[in-house]
Formats: sequence, C-alpha cells, structure tokens
Amino acid sequence: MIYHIGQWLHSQIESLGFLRLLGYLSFRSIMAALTAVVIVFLLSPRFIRAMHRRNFLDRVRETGIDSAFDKAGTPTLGGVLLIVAMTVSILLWGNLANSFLLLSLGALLWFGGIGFWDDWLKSSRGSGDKGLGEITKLVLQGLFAVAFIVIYLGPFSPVQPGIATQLYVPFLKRPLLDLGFFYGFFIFLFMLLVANAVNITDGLDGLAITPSIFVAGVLAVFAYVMGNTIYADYLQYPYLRGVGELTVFVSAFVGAGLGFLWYNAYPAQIFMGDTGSLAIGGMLAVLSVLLKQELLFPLLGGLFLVEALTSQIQDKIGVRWLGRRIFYRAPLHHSLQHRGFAETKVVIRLWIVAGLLALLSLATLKIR
Amino acid sequence: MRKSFFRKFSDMVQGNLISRMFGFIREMVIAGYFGTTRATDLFAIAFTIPTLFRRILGEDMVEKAFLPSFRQLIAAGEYRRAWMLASRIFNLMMLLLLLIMGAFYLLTPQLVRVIGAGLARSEFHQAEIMTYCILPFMVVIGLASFVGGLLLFLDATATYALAPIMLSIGVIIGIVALQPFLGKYSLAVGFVLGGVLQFIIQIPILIRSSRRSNVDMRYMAALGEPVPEIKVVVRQSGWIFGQSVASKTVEVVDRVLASFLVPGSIAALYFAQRLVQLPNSIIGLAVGRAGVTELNDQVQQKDWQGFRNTVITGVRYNIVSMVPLTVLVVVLVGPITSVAFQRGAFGSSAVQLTALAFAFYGLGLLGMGLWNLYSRVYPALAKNQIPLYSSLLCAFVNVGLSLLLVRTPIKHGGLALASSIAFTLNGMILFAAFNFELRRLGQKGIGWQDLGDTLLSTTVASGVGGFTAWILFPRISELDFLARLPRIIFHWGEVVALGLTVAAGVFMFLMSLGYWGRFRGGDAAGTKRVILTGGGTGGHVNPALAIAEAIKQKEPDSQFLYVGLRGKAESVIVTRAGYPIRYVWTSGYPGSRPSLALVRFIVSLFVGIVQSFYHIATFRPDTIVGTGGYVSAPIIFANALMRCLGMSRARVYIHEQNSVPGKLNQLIGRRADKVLLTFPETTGFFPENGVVVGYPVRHSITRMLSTDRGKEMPLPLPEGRRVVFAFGGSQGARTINRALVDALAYLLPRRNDIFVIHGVGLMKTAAYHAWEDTSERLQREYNEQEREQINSFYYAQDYFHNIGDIYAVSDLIVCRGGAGSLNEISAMGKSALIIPKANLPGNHQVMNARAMKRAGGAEVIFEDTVKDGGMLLEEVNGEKLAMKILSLLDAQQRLEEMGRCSRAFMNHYAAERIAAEIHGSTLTNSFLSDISAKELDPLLSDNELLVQLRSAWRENQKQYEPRKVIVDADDLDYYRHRAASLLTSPSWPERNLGVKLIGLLKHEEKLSSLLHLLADRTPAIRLQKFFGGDYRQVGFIRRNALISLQILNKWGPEVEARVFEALDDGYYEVRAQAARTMGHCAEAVLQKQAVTEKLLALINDRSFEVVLEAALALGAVGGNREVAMGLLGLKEHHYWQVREAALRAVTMLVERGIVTDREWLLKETSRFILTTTDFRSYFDIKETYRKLHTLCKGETHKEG
Repeated sequence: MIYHIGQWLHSQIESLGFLRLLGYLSFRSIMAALTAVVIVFLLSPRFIRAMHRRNFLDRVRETGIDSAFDKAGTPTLGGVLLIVAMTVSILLWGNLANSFLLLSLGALLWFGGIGFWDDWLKSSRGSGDKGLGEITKLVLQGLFAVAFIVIYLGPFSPVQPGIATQLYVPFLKRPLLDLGFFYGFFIFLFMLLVANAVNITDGLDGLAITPSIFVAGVLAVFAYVMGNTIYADYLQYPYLRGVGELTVFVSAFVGAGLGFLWYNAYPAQIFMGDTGSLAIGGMLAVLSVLLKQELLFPLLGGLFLVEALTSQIQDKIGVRWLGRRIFYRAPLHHSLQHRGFAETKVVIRLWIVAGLLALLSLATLKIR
Repeated sequence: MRKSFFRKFSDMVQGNLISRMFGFIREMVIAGYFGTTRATDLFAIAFTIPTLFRRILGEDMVEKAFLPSFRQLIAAGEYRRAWMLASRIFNLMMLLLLLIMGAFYLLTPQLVRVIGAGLARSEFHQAEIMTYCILPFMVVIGLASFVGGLLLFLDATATYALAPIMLSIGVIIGIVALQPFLGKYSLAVGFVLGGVLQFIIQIPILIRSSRRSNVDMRYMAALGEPVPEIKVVVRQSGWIFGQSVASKTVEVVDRVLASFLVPGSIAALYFAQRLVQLPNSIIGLAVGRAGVTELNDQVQQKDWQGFRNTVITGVRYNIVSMVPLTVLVVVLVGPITSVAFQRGAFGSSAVQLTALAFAFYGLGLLGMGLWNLYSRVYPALAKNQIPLYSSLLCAFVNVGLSLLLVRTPIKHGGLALASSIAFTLNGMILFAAFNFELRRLGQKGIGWQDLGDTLLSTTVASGVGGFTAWILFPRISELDFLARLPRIIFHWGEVVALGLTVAAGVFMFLMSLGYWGRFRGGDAAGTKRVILTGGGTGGHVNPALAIAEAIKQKEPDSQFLYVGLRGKAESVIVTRAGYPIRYVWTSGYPGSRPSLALVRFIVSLFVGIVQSFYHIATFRPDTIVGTGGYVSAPIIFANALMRCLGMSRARVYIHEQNSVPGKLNQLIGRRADKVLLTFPETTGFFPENGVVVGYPVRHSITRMLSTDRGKEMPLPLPEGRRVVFAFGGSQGARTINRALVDALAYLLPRRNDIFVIHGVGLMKTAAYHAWEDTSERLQREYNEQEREQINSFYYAQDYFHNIGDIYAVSDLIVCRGGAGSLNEISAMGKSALIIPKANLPGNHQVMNARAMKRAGGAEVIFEDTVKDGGMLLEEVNGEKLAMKILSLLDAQQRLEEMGRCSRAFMNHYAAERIAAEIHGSTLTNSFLSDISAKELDPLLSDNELLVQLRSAWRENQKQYEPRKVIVDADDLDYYRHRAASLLTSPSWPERNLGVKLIGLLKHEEKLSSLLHLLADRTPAIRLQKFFGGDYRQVGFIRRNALISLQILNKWGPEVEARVFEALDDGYYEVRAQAARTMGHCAEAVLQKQAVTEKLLALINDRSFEVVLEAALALGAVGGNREVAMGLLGLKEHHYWQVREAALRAVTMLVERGIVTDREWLLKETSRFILTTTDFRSYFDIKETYRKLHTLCKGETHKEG
C-alpha cells in the first residue's frame, strides 16, 4: 500500500524525491520486517490472553514422552499472529501487482486456512486426535498444489517461458534437464512433502520457527540475487524478473517469526499450531519452487525433511506394517528426547544443525 | 451351488450389456466403413443364411431342446449318459452343419437370385462371392453356440454372455485389417474370424468350469452308443426348427422385398434391427433366460401359483421396460440413429433411411419382449406347438402385410411396421393362449387385475416422459455451445443433447409415475394398504407377518404387499402365508471402506430404490412396515424420497428385533416415523422416534404354545425325565451341534433321569451339512454300545415343525441368542442356556443374551475360537456344556425361578401394540407385561476395552485386577473369549490387540497361546524382511506377549524358558521387555546362574534400552558381587539413563544385602559420571495449582 501510494505520489509531485527510497527492495524489506515484529509485539499479549479466555488451549496427543504433559493448557493458534502480522506488513510494503508475491501470499493464507480449520476442530472437539482427517488435509493441500501448478506452468506464469519446467540442481551451473510435463507431478509431491514436514517438526518449543527463519533467510538471498540482472548474471543464475519482491515477503516473515519466537521460546507461552506450521510449510514450498531451488531444499531444509521422513518411516513402514519400531522414537526430536536430552538441549542443537545447513546452502551461490 | 435368480439376472445383464456393447461397436464400425450402400446390402443378403441356421441349430435348439434333457441326466447323476448325449448332439450338429454348408455352396447362385431378387444382374456375382466367404461362419458359430449353452448350464453364466465379445472383436479386427485388401468382402471374412475366436475362447472355460462343478465331462468322438434321450431332443428340435424357420423366413421375405427398393434399404433394415435388438436383447432376453431355471423348477414341483407369479413378474418387467422404450424410440428416433451410426461412409441420407425403419421396428418392442418371454414359458410346460402355430400364423400375417405395406410411401418402413404388427400379434396370441393353459391348470388367467395398473400407469408416465423429450430436444440441440463440441468418433454435441433429453424424460417418467399413484382414486374408506418389507432370514420375516396378522385383525379389509429379496426366506414363507410378494434388488451394507462389495451395494441399492419407487407408485401404500435386514432399505429410501416430492403418503414403521441395530437400520430408523423396539435398551439409538413394543410372535406359534403339554409328540419321550432341548435355529448351529454330541459322553451316566432333544438344523451347504456332520461325529466319538445307550435318552431330528410342543415339554433350552428364539422361549416361560454367536453386527446376540441373563431368565456360555487345520472354528467344550446343563437341571427351584423371570422378560402383546401404533391409538399400559427395563452398559469395543484396562493398570500395577474395571463377571468372560478369538486372526494388528487384552484381562487359560506366539519363528514375507521385519509374530506381538506374561504373573518352567529365550531376540524392544519381565518375576529366578550371566551379557547390548532394563533386572535378580562389578562398569556409559539405572540397581543390591562392602562401593560409585543432558522442569505455579486442587477435591470427598 505504502509502496503504491509512494510510487503514485512520486510520479505526480517532483519534489517528493525521497520517496524514491520506496523503490528499493532493501529498504522495503527492512521496513517490512520491522513492521511485522512491531505488530506481533503489539498483538501478542492480548492475543494470548484471548486464547486463554476462549479456551483455545493445546490438546496434547499421547506420545509417551513425559515432558509433553506439562504443555497441556498452552494456548495454540499462534500461527494466526504470524499470518496477520505478515499479511499486514506485506500489504503495506509489498508491490501488490507482483505475481511472485501474490502466489506466495496465496500459499500462506490457503495453507494457514487449512491449519486453522484443523486447530479449530481439535479445540472445539476437545481432542488432539479429532482434527481434520489426514486425507482431507492432503486433498485440500493438493487442491492448492494443482492450482499453483496450473498457474505456474500456464500462460500466466510469473516465470519466463522455458525456465518454469527446468530442473536446477545445486552445485551445477546449468539446469540438469527439462522435465516438461512431469515437472508438474514433481512439484505436486514436493509441495505436499514440504508443507507437512514443518508441521511434523513443530513438536518442541521454538523448534519449527527458528529453522524456518534460517531457511527463509537463505531463500531471501536467492530471491535478491535472481531478481537482479547484474548479480544473476554474475552468479550465473537465471534472471527472473520481479522475483526480488520475494525478499520483502521473506523479510516480513523473518520479522514476524522473530516476534513469535519471543513468546514461543522455552517454556512457550503460545504455540503456532497447525495454522502456523502448515502456513510456513506451504510458504517455504512455494518459495523454493518459485526460486527454482526445489533440489536445494533437501539440504537447506534438511532438518524438516529428516523429521518428516523419520516420522513417516516409523509410522507407515514400522509400526503399521512391520510391527516393530525402526527408530527408538519418531520424529527425530522425540528420538533425541528419548535418548535422554532435555527439551531445551534438543531444540538448541537442532537450531545449530539448521544453521549449519543454511550456511552450506548459502555456499551453493558461489560453489557451482 | 445354485445361484439365485438375482445373481443370474445381474450376471446376464452385465454380460449381455458388455457383449451387446461390443456387438454394437461392431455394427458401428461396419456402418462407418460401409454405410447403407449396395456393399452392405449384399452383405445383409449373404448374412441371412448363416444367421438363420445359427439361430435354429445353435442357440434355440441348445436352450430349448437339448438342455432340458441334459439337465435331467446330470441331476440324476448319469454323467456318462449325459455327456454321451452332449457329444452325440455336438457331432450330429457338426455333421449336419457341414452337410448344409456343402449344399449351400452348390446352391448359392440360385439362392442369391432368390433372396436378392431385386438386385441388378451385375450384382449377383458379388453377392455370390460374399456368400461363399461367409458360409463357414455358419458352422463355427453353430458349434460355438452349442458350447455356450453348456457353459450356461455349468453356471458360467457370465462367460456365456461374454463369449460373443470375441466375435465382435474378431469382426472389428477383420474389417480394420483386411478392408484395404479385400474391400467389402473383409466384412464376411471378419465374421468367420470372429466366430472361430468365440469358439476357441470357450473351450478352456468349459473345461475349467466342468472340473469345478464336478460333472466328469468327457467328449466322445463316435456317434456310437444309442442314447434314448436323443430322440426327445431331435423331436423337440423339430418343433423349434419349424418355429424358428417361421420367424426367420419373414426376415428373408423382407430382404427379398427390400432388394427391389432403393440401394441401401436392406442395410437400413439391418442396422435398424440392430438398434432395436439392443434394448430388446438386454432386457427381454435376460429376463427370459434367467427365469428359465426357475420356471422349470416350478413346473417340476407343480407350484402353479409360483409359476403364474413368475410369468406375471416377467410380463410386468416387459411392460415397464418396453413401453417407455417404445416412446423413447419414436420420439428420438432421428438423434439416436445419428448418434449411433453417423460417421464415415454413413451419411445423413443413410440416417434418414435407417431412422424410418427403426421407428417402425420400435413400435413392436413390447410384442417382441412378450414373444421372447413366452417362447421360454411354453417349453417349460413342454408345449412347444403353441408358439410354433402362433409364429406360423404371424409369419403369414407378416408376409401379407409386408407385401401390402411395401407399396405405401413408407416403403422399407412398411416392412418394419409389418414385422412389428406381427410381433405384437404373436405376443398377444401367446398371452391369451397362456391364460387358457393357466385355467386348465386350475389357476386364474392373467388379466387386467394383475397388469392393468402397471399398463396404465406406465403408458401415462411414458407419455409424459416422451412429451417432455419431444418438447425439449429441439430446444436443447439448438443450444449454442453444443454446436462447438468436437466430432471425434461421435458428434459430441448431439450426444450431450440426447443425454440431457433422455435424462429429463426419465425424470418426468418417474415423477408422473409417482404422482399417478398419489392421485389415482383411493379405495373405500377404512381399508389400509400396507407394504411389508424385510427379510433375509425367518427372524425378519416372521415379525412382519405377525404384524400383518395383527393389522388384519383390527382392519380386515387391509391390503398387503410384501417386498423382499428373491431366493431368501421370504420367498418361501410369505408365499406360503398367502401374501402377494414382489422383489427388489438390494444387498447388505459392507461397511464404508472402499471395496467391490460397496460398489455392488450402491448399484443394487440404486436399482432397488428405482424398483421400490415403482412398487410404491403402483401399490399406493399408506403404511410401510419394515422389519429390518438390508432388504427393507430400498423401499424406505424410495418412500422418503417420494414423500419429499409429495408422491407418497405412506407412514413408515420399522421394527427392530435386536437390542443393537445394525448400521443400515440405524440410518433407516432415522427416516422412519416410528421405530418399534423389542428391547428397552435400544431406546438410546432412536431417542426421538423409538417406542418399546416387544417382539411380535405369529399367532400360529402362540396358538401352538397354548396346546396341552405333549399331546401329539413326534418322539418317544419316556415319563419322568428332565428334558433338555438344544437347537441352533432353523438352519442349525455347528457350535451347538458339535458341543452337544461331545457333551453326551458326560451326560451318559445320567441317562435314566434326563432326556435330550436335538434340533440339528436344515443347513446343507458345502461348508457345513448339519445332519451329516452331526451323525458322523456321533459315529466317530462313540462305539456301538455307547450309541445304544445314548439312543435311550437322545433324540435328534433335523427340524421340528411343531417347535411349540417341544418347548412345552422341555425343562431347559439350549439355543442361540437370536431375538426370535429368545422371544419364543420367553413366551413359553422356559429357562434357557444361551450360546450366543459372536462377532455379529453390534454383537446383538451377545447383547440379547446378556439382557435375558440380567433379567434372570437365562445362563450364558460363550464360544471359544480355535484353529483347526488352518480354519478358524468356534467351539464350546462339551464337558463344560454338559456340566452346565446338569447343574441347572439339578437345581429345580432355580429353574422354576428362571422360567418365571424368562416369562416376565418379554412383552407378549407386541403385535397388538404395533397394530395400535399403526392405527394411531396407543394401548394402555395394562397390556404390557412388566418389562425388566434395567439399563445395560453397552459392550465395549476391543479398543475401548484396551484403553480402560490399560489406564487402570498404569495407575496401579501392583493391585491391578480386571474385575475392578469390568464388574460384571459374564462380561469379563465374554471379553476374554473375544480376546482369545483375536489371537487366531490372520492380521497381526488384531493378534497384537488380542495379546495385549489377554494379559490385561488376566485370561490365564491362554497362557500357552501367549508362549506359543512368543516362540513362533515362522518368517515374515520376503518384502517385509527386506525392510527389517523378522517373523510372522511381529516384534510388537512378542514384546506385548512378554508384557502380558508379566501381568499374568504365572511363573513356571516353561514361561521361564520362553522369557529366557526372548533375552536373545533380534528385536531390541523384546530383549528389553524380557529383561524387565525377568526383573519383575525376580523371586522365581533368584538363584539361577544362567539368568544372571545372560543379563550380565546384555549390559553390553547395542541398544541402550536393553542395557538399562538388564541393569535394573540385575538389581532385582543378581546374587553376587560380580553383578555389582558389572553394574559399576556402566559408570561411564554414554547414556545417563543407563548410568542412573546402574546406580538404582546397585542400590537394590545393597538393600537386598548382596553387597555388604560399603566402603568399596562408596569409592567405586564416586567415579560415576553424574553430568546429564536432561532434567525435570518444575513449574511452581502448576504445582501450587495442583496442590490446591487436590486439597479441594479431598474436601469435597469428605463432604460427599
């Protein structure tokens, strides 16, 4: 909004030259982050109280881990805070005509909506097991994925034709191959996997949000690079016109995320709930696809991937089919807890892992 | 095993549908390639001859002449003669066909000049070549039809109908592949190819299905040994031959006449016939063929009323399907033809030509259907001459009319019209003649009172539907977007328009049918029209009839119609009771998981609803009484729908016999006006519309009940005996039969003062033949002397028609827990020993039994599940049964008390109460007996049970007793049996659940099963092994078996050995749990050196969990200083939990006085690494809150 007003004023009145500043991504990104933080800080105390009053408290699923029981009664739905802060900040500072931005925002809201519905059902039915069914969730997520694929591969794609279906591999200069039609299948699966990976990771205080900030931060750098002709040319990335706007988007997320972490750090005063974790998952998935970094994600978001895979392998192959445990516990963070690590220790160690992975991923900018 | 009419019908329709579809695609291909040109004309001319002989020698003769004799021979078990007959007929046919083919080859030029009289001279030669090409088809297809007939007999019905697909495929391949080389002759060659394919494909299927039916099939090449039946077959064939010739000559005449008309006329007639035969064959043929067996059976049993009803049903089907189709054809003839054929060489003029013929053929659909039906009815009566004469007559009429009408402007349409008129005439003659036959058999003829309503309503409704279509089609087809749809194979715009129009027409048809029923004048005031529905078993049918009796008593003018499922109990009982019955499609609800059965359920429910729609519309009931079972579902749903649309005014009453309604009944119950309940416990399921009325018992039974004791006993009952009557319902129950035979051994010593009456049951399936199995068991278990003794106090019969008498003389009744039996027993005031059948929907037998036991009228024994040679069987221990029987018989006073309670258990005026409910008044309570309205706890599902027990166990492991959770001893007993039955399940999650429950329920008798599961080393399937699976009894099962052993706490040498083995298990959780179990049962293994050594070895295990448990176990078991040394060796272990466990174990050793050297211990333990990666978080505010709460709760407890 501010961006558009500024641009309009600047074009109308010569003397308002300082509004030129609004054209710069860097400035708007920083402002977006700050705005988001401020919004979270302003809203959070009231929001947390309101959640308590309305009894939107976490319903713990029995996991067999003692510490989880102390968490019953922590308000959930913190994802709403995240999403509101981000949306407001982006509406203020973003270029709303940019389709990269709109697609990402769409993903955030859609996946957030699914999560919200799930949380709402869990809370109103009074049980952590009675949310949306697994199939329903996947179908809803799949709907978005299909719509996204249609737009992304169709005539209204934000990406120049020819690039959309290319498969870029980290550490390789040129795209590996053009998947064509199959690229649609590929990103469909990719989106479902990533969206739910964050959800699974979100099991300990602060465990989901910080690694998400790391991942998003690295993607912001990529967005900045690929949206800039000079850097893109220099680093031999495909130049994607307008993709830089995603820097603003990600900055808003980083800001909101930091604000959220303020309250979510151990011992948490609020959880993000499925609202937050699905929204972040959906957002990260869409960002990776838009920035052509799908294959970087296994490295960059390796933590999320391992969490998701351990959980699924343990449940689907081990417990349901083979009738035995394959890991001591799953997902990863529960396994660590089972091995005798305190929650704080698990969380901080996994932050370190996520940070290292982010650094390594950043290195692929140059090492190619 | 014979399939039901329904199954046969649906098989036929499905098979026919697919094969006809392929046949139609074949025609479409022909039309597309050749159009209505001279080429097709020539083909049609050439084709006349082989089809003529194919029908005559193939299908018709096999079905009507050969199969009846053949069937009789097979039924008599004379396989050799039967197959001799079949072989001879086959050989004869082959010979005959070859001869005829040879003759035709010689005569072709002449024949072609006759049939194609109107052709130009130059075209004769081509027609001859065409005929030469197609003649072999006659032989192949004749033989294929014969083999197909055999398949039909061997119950490979679907294959019989599907084999013609091969023909079509062959033709299509032939045309597509050969047309470039052979031109129009590819058509003929294609047919020969297809015929060969059809013949070949049937042979392996024939061999396989004959092997399955065990009829010892054998082909004999010779014409050898004379079989007398062959004369019958040949004579019958003669009649059929005449009849077929009569009806097919018309075809020939038509073609001769058409050859004088414009080129393409023959082809137009040919294609129009194909179109008109599509619905005709699917509906007409299927109804006719599927009913053949039933008609034959009814004739054999001289069940003339049933015979008449079957025919009426057939005629109704015909009217209901053919009348609307006729209207449809007439109204939409153009678009249908064009959609079907217009492509390629088939242009718009060809469409016009064909459509004209099609419209006129369409007029004869009803007649054709009737002819089809009756031409199968008469052979059943062995009256083949009537259809023959009638056909001959009509053939003359047809030819005459053809000659007349072909001169009119409608030209070839006149030929079609003539054959339609002839068909209609034929149908009418046969109909009238059949009525004559019926009267001769002492039955009323079929007339207006049977069919009038159907005919009128269908005609009116078809008119409305047709009018709708007529109005709509031009408007729809003009829609803009339709024109833009592509033309690939079909002109899709036209297809869509046609589809929409037909849908609208069908909708209007159904609507007007419904309103017709609603507004057509009612009957005289006061007469009720009642539809009764429900069935499957007598337990559903008898209450319905009891209700009907009660209604009749109140309002004698009431009209009843029973709607049921063909081939089930209702088709026998209801007909015998004298109520009219109609049938619908339906099938049981298989659960909401996606499956083939679910698809079948949905399809048959849908069809059933449409049928019910029709039945309701025509019968116009004002009351519908459903007595449950899936059979009543379609009627109830259809009625609900029709009430929404204002088509029906019927109120719906559902009677629920059992204490737990099935899923479908719950759903239906919500749609009902009132749900009449047998048990007060059921009210919870229908809080809004449930009324407790009890179980209606038919007067015929109550009357029987009031007769004097043992007046006309069918069996020699010595005086002064205590009588036990054991039976498992009309079909019999394997569990009860076998247990009773076993129990006789224990009852033998008391043979002088007791007497056992045994109702064995009528079940005669391959899986269980009640009578044979029981007598065989008697032979096997007892020697001759014993059997003699047994006969002095034991009497068995398969079924007691006068069951009331048997009840009357009995002191104790051993039975299943079905509502019907229990109600009869209650009505008699007898005491019962119930063996409920487990795992039925909602466990209703168990619930019934529980309710009766709670009321004091019965005792209960539950079935065990055992594995017998890979099969799961339920059984009851004979000794247990005998002891229970004896203890009850000996307690005279208790038996009398039970009898009193039993009488009080049920409400005995249920039928009257229901009639009153339906009438709109309620009976005063004085009619009600004192129903014991005690609330019963609902039974828990296995998972609920697990959750409850486990939480109790976790709360207090030391003093855990399942009795504290499950208070009722019978329930506990039942749960134990259910848990035990889970152990034999093929799915491991269920076995696992069983293992857990066995422990938590403390079912000590199953200890050995647990040990068996633990030791079972059957490997898992290879794929699972690849992913890390090991044995069939998966890790969880073994682990949980150990936990259950721990809870059971029955230590013995064998248990010890198994647990000791488990310490070496490949799966870490099992090892860990084994160690824990060892620790738990420490006292038993205290001094065992081997155990200590094994545990010491385990503290070097890969998995820290195992190390941890082993250390703890050592603390409990260990007996020397070495153990302490070993434990102290864990001081630098990577996992703090292990270090902690080691410290705890050492503490235990100190406490138990094993380690005394405390100085040394202090020194050694000081080296332990005490840093840790974990801690317990402590939230002050939560603790304070908790303290406050416990405080307050304690106060309230004291107050309370």
